[in-house]
Order: sequence, then C-alpha cells, then structure tokens
Amino acid sequence: MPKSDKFVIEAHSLTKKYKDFTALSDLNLEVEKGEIFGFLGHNGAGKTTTVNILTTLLEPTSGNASVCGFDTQKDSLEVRKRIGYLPENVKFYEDLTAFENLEFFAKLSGIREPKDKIEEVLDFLDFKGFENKKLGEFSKGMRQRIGIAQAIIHDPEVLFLDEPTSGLDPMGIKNLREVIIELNKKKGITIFMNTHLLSEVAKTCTTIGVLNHGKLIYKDSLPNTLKKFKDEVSLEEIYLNIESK
Amino acid sequence: MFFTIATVSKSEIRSLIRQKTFVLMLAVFLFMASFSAYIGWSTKNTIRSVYAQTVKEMTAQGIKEIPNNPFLSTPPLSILKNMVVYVFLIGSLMAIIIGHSSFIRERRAGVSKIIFSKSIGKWEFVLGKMGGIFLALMLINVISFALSFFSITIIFSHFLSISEAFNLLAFYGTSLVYMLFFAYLGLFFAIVSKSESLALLAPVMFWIFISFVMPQLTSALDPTALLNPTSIQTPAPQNNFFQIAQSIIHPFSVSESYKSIGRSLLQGDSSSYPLFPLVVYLIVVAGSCFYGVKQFNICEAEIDQ
Repeated sequence: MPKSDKFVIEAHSLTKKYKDFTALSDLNLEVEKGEIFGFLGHNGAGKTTTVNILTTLLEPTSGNASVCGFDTQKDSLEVRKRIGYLPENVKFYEDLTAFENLEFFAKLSGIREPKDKIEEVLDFLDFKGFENKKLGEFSKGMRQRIGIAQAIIHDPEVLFLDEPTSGLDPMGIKNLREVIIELNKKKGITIFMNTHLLSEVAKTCTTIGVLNHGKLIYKDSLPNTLKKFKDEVSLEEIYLNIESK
Repeated sequence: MFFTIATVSKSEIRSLIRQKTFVLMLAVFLFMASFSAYIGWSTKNTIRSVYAQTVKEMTAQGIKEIPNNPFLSTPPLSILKNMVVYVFLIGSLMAIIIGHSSFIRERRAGVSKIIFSKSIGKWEFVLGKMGGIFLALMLINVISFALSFFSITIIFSHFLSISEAFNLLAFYGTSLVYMLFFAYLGLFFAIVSKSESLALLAPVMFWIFISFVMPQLTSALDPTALLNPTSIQTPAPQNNFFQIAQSIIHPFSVSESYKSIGRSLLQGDSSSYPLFPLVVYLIVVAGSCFYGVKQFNICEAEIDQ
C-alpha cells in the first residue's frame, strides 16, 4: 500500500553487504515528487547498488525502501509499474530493430498495442525515422535515446538513470540534458540520476545527494548548496569539499 | 499477467526462427522424419525380396513347410521406428540447444536489467520462455506427424486407420515430452551457469549420461538395444552389480522409458507404456527452472563467453 504522497522515494537504514564488503551502509534517503535528484559519488561509492535496490533488481541485506509508496521488496511489481530505468551502458537485442526492441519492452510493461505509443515517444525524443534499423547499427547516443524511450514508454512516475551521460559526446550530453529537463517539466516525471559529471548536475538537477563509501554524507537542494558553499567557485570544488569532510 | 507471459513466448518463437543453428537442426530433423518412412519402406522391400528368394529356393529344394513372411504381421507404423532413434539422438540435442539459447539470449544481450525493471516477475518470464519452447517443440512434432502421416500414405498407398493415426499422434506426443525434458534441462543450466560454455556443456553431459550410460547399465547390456527401440533380447548378466544396477536404474531411465513407449506405439506392442520416468523427470526439471530463476541474480546476469 502507498505510504506517502510527498516523497516518491524513501529509503530507511538501507544496507547492502557482499560477503565482507559493505556497498551501502545505513542509507536514509528521501526524494520529493517532481525533483531531479542528482546522486553523486566516486566510483564504487554505492550509487548503482542504491539504484538496483530502488528499481527492485536487488534485495538489500537490511533496511527497506519504497518507491511511489510501494515497498521495493514486498510490492516489487507495483514499483516496476511506476518506474522507468535506464541502466549504465544500456544494451538491447542487437538483432532486432529499434521498433521491435521497443515493442517487446512496451509489452512487458503491459501496453497491449504499443505502436502508437512508440511513435509518440520517438516523436517526443525527436528520433523518428530510425525505427526499422537494427540496434547493432546504432551509435552510443542513438542507443541512449532508445534507452530513454523504453524507460518512458509506459509513462512512469519516476525515472532512474544510471550514469546516463557515460560514453556520450558533448552533443549527446547536451541532447540528453534537454530530454531530462523536458521529461521533468512537461511530463512531470521525478528523476533520480546517478552521475559523477558535476557540470551536468549543475545544469540539470534540483537536488543533490553525495554518497561516500556507502553512506549518504550530504543532501540538499542545488540552490541551498550553492548558498552554503558560496566561497567555492564550482560544483566540483563543493563536491570535493563535502567529500573531504 | 497472461499477456506478458504470452509476449515472452512469442518473442521466443520469433528469435528461434531467426537462429541459423536451430533452423539447420530443424531441417535435418524434418528431413529425417520424412526419410524414416522411406528407410522403413526400403528395409521392408529388401526383406520381402530376400523372403521371396528364400521361398523360391526352399520350394526348389522340396521343403513344404515354409514360414510366413515376417512382415505380414507388422503394422504399417513399424516402418517409422527409426524415428525413435532420430528423436533420441537429434531431437533431444536440438531441444537442448533450444532451451539453452532461450535464456542465454537475454544474458548475452545484457538486457536482463531492463526486462526485470518492467512489470514482469522472474517466474512469469521463465514461464513465458517455457511456453515458447513448448510451442516451438509442439510445432516441430506436429510437422513431423504430418510428414510421417503423408509419407506412409504416399509410399504405401495406405491411409492410416483411426487407431493407427492415434498411435502415431501418441508417439509424437511422447516425443514432445521427451524433447521438452531436454529443452528444460538446457534452460535450467542457461539460468544457473556462470559461463556460456558451461551452460551448454552441462546439459550435453546429462544427455550423454541419460542416452548412453544409463542404458548401458539397464537394457543395453544387450548391445543392440543401446540405440534401437527393441525390447531386451537377452537377460542381464548374472552378476550382482548388473542385476542391482538394472533393478534400481531401469525404472528411472528416461531414455529406456521413451524407447519402450516408442516401440509399443509404432510396433503395435501394447506391453508397456512406462510414462512414469518421463513425466517425473519433466516435472523435476521444470521445477528446477523455477527454482533456478528464483535464485537468479539480475545484477550479475551478463554471461561470460
């Protein structure tokens, strides 16, 4: 059953251990509806583990989390109905066309006649005309667009993006940024974005959280953060300042 | 729920049709299905001519008591008995490849994370896969049934009676169960294995054990029964090990079970239909697939080559 209306993502004492290694330690996190949340941290900080738990792909060792008011473990299917997910280095069936890939994923999301929806999403992403090409022929940027398309095809409430700019050229990054902002503004989708590209966080996110060695060490809105650290000249310096503390 | 399961099944069949290995094996299997009637017909003709020659010579020698033509009492379906061997060898291997490639496809493509972020549960997904495999194998057996039916009709100018057609249908039904067992075995190892080569090697090892080692310890003590769908011609050696091995293993030998049923249905010998091992094995291996997928770690789904 849904727990809260204000927060679309809630994590309480979330811990994930792999044998002796603790990937996440007692993580408490809340993300409000309509935010673009930038989840920062160095490689191995536990960002992907957090997203994997929130998207129901991984079970925590202890603690619990809810998305859109549904528990990620007990109501995983309800959570999945309400989220879209773009994994890092997104992959597809290379032997299928873009349309066939999207059709398959749309049907898995419960859309019975996905043709119109696919056209609508590709139109929104300004990506028409490539439907009948096989994914094997696509560039990284084109794949990312199809990745976004499969993630939003069922009109999710929350979109999880794991390092979405990874491997993209500057133009690809700019295009993706515009898409993310548009999804948030026009479709009202809450966005949870794992990244370590601080310049993108500054241009895209409304709130940031910093994860260090599996612990959340900072969380505030971007304007507040910039106020708090007004002596620092860039977000990069702010981030390094937070991490060093 | 049914819709998502059906989506996976449909995608499974589509992907199989696009696989060159599958298409090649299917072509060989269907060719053998058509050819088995011809081989049976050719064998029958050879024996007939040998019989006629023998009768001629015996009559010339003044022998009056001439034995009846052995083929007069054999039912038309018996000319298809080679099909038992083809299913036993080619069909089961093809089934392993179908089951293996079914789940490996997602793991190789690296799409497991996307799939399981959609509103489909792990068991629904594997049920969809199993459904797709079932439909593909059923289609293969239906086509084989049609090929056998028309081969007999054309070669012998003999239209099968209802009971003969039913026996032929039952034979392909049993073949479907036998092939499903191997397909689900391939699926199970594709789910639980860490590497792609192990995922294929493991069911093939099982196939070798079930097809060749188990029969050696049971009826294949008579060497002619290793591959052929014949009943035990000679008793097992009077040796404690073989006697105990036979009494323990034979009831559980899925290949013996299949060969016995195949023989009974095609040769009109209604002595035995030991369905028990076939059905039990199929249930066990299908259950293992569900257990395997429950333990399946989506975040570590990508497979090593």
